Amino acid sequence: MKKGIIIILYSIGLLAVLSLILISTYEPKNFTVEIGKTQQEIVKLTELSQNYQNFIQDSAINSAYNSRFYEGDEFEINFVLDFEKRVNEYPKFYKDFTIFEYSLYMDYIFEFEEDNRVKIIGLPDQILDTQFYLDSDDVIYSDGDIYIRDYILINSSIMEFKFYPYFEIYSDYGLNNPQNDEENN
Amino acid sequence: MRNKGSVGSMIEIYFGVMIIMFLFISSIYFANQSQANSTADVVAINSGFECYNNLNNILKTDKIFDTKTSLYLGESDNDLDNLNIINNYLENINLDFKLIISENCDSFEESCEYDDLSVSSVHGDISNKIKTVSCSGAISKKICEEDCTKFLHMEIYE
Repeated sequence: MKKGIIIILYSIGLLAVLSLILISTYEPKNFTVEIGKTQQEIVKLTELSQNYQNFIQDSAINSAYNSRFYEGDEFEINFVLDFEKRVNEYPKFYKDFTIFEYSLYMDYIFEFEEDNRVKIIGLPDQILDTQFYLDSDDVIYSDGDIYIRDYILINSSIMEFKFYPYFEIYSDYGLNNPQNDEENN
Repeated sequence: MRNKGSVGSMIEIYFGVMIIMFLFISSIYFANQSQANSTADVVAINSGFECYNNLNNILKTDKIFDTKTSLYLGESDNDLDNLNIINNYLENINLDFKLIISENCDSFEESCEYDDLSVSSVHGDISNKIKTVSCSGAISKKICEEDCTKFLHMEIYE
């Protein structure tokens, strides 16, 4: 084939391609922009945190109720076991939510008062780690010690949110003592 | 004859080169003149604040059952009656929604899935309306052996 014909064919092909591009961009393109994604994430995280805080307080009240027939150390042991069992049932949200397994150690302060009432304060606390936690991503290495973080870190696709659950309740204890009753539980 | 072919070939090359030059120059010209036209639909995502806020307020208030709703629901087994009481208390709210109590929810990551056997109560008229947003909250049962949690869900229809 002659060189001139090749060049003409090439130029016609090029013209066709450019025409297609021109035609395809002539018509206005329509697209959709979604706004408020960040707001949606913030609302969901904060409201779920509120729900969790409410849930953790209710769980503490119910655990105290279920431990009402125990006294002293037995009350404390039963309360903690029952409470952690309940809270571990809370559904996970986002990829990082396993409360007592890895993410959080809940510390408790028990103050037994003379009128057979106990004040229970639950708050997150760091613990010195054991081998049990070594596979967790939540391990914190500091000065040769190994700690588990004291907050729940919630990750969404666009942000991180640290949540520190806390509760304080009063409950009667030792209801096997005839002097106590359930009214103030 | 040979000279004729050479002249014809030269003319073809000349035309080809001219066309390419024309394309080159015109593409530069139109590139300067070009204007991209587009239209955009801006859609605001429903944040779900209305749903979550209402649900948390329901769970935390002590106005409906004279004790905190979440504690009462965790103690009572009459889920349907309780949902109807909540709906009656909220009768003045200008919102069409459905309240559901279920026993299962594996994850809050997306949204809870609950079966058709879950107890539900409708507020307003949701027929011919679509569900725009839904939200869920956990409730601690007072007395339990295995499953110590149940869930209150709200679905808002518009």
